[in-house]
Amino acid sequence: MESSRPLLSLDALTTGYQRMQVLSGLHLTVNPSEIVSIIGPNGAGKSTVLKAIYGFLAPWEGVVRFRGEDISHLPVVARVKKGMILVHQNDNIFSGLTLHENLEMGGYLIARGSLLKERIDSVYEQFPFLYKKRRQAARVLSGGERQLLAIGMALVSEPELILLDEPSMGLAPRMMARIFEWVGRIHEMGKSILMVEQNARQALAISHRGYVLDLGKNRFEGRATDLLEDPKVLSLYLGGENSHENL
Amino acid sequence: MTIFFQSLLDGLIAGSIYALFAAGLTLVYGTLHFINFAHGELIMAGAFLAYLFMMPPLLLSPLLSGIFAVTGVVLLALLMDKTVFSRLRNANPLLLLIASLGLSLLLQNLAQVLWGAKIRAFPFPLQRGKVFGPVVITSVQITILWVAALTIFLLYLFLKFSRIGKAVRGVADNPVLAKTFGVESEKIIRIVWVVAAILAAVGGILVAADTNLEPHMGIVNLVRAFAAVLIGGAGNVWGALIGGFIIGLSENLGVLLLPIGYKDAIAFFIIILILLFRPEGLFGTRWGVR
Ligand SMILES: Nc1ncnc2c1ncn2[C@@H]1O[C@H](COP(=O)(O)OP(=O)(O)O)[C@@H](O)[C@H]1O
Ligand SMILES: [Mg+2]
Repeated sequence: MESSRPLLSLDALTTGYQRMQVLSGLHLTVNPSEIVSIIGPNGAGKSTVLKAIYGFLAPWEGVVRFRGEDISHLPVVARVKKGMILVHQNDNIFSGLTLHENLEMGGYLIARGSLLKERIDSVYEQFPFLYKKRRQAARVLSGGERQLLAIGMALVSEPELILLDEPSMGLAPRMMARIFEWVGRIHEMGKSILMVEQNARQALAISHRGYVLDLGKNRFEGRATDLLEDPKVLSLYLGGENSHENL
Repeated sequence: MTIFFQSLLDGLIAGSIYALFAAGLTLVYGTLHFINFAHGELIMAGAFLAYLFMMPPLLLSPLLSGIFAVTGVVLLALLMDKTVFSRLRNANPLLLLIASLGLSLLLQNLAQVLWGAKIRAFPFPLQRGKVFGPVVITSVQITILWVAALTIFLLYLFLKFSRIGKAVRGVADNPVLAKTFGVESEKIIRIVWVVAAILAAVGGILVAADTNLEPHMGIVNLVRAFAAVLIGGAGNVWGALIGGFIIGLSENLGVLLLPIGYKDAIAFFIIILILLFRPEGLFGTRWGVR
């Protein structure tokens, strides 16, 4: 896997908001069929990495490559068409639209109605509760259900790479476990996943590799199992039992 | 009792037109987040363009005049967006509001230069009303009712069932998320202007057919539309439609209790009441553009 061309790679990426620099010379790769986690403290710039990959932020320096192609200056819509989708940390559903309409928005770029319907039906098969509530406005969903809807919306577009921003945030432990289980299943469907998590242990437990980000810089990287055992990572970023749970 | 039913009918007719004005105004508010004062002048332009096509030397049929007028107003709205509003896309809403106020005054004055301040009417033959039980209705009024109903129905089909219509609602609901799925907001904004302009122009032609037209007709109708938008909850299309009917009915039933001179004040009165007691509207903004 290491030898094949990476699906996504960030090369010395520097960017930020207006005048405020957030990321400094960041390196990161995601290989085909990999789950990669980015962990790090609040405000480290994890969400900013995903926004830069997705085109919400333009790079100040450095390059974003997807399947080897420089996509640094493509607009969001062009990146979606290339096969990636971002699941936001917050506000990741259309609360006033019905569940069905939410899924249709997930497949907005699928022009053929029959194909869209097919994709939505397959999401309904995986998440039967979405089908049961398909005519209700999405605002009625609980936090965990919202997260699953957001993942379902991402699946409709059949992306190759899913960027997940803190999918377990604010969820009860049981729901959290369900979300991580789903991440695993989506991986089994053959998708690559780049996931940002506060819940570092659980994220690393299902990941192949991980990056530790602090103050917008790469601090540690490696196989997830190695990071989970690295004493420095343990004490600095995974310290204290359940230290992440209430963030 | 007869006068009550007659006022009810008149209120429904007026309300169906105000509903069109309000739906367009709230649609623009829901996606661009400012109250477009020049919406009144889209209404006025619809009426005047239709008048222009119906009168000598062109003397086109009302239907053809209407179609050309609506097309002209759509182009006017797109021009307004291109020259003014698109340059202020991420500006403070107050700035947008003031820019739209400026456009509104400019267009009113332009209309006054072209047509003068005289009150005009469409060149329809004098109407003899048909009697239906307790009420009298003219054939023009019957046409107004079904054109308004058809327009509202088409708006519903567009927003509820078309791919672009759903994207309009998506952008109004959560613009960042819409962009995430590949919706290009500039394209959606242009669609919103087209739809708002069609609603304003159709309504403007209908209101001129029901009453008359003059260069400042936009303002009084904008106030009614604004009241209806507030009743429905800003950005809420279905709420605005209902709000339009509420304004039409209160104006026409209100004059049974108040001196006729107060008719135009009723919308203002409702605006004040809503802002004081229910600024989120009767149905709440939570419906959004749905
Ligand atoms: N839209 C924004 N505008 C300005 N600064 C922002 C914005 N979003 C995030 N930031 C800042 O960028 C830094 C990194 O934020 P973020 O990437 O959200 O961190 P994380 O996801 O790791 O918690 C923080 O200092 C945050 O305040
Ligand atoms: Mg974050």
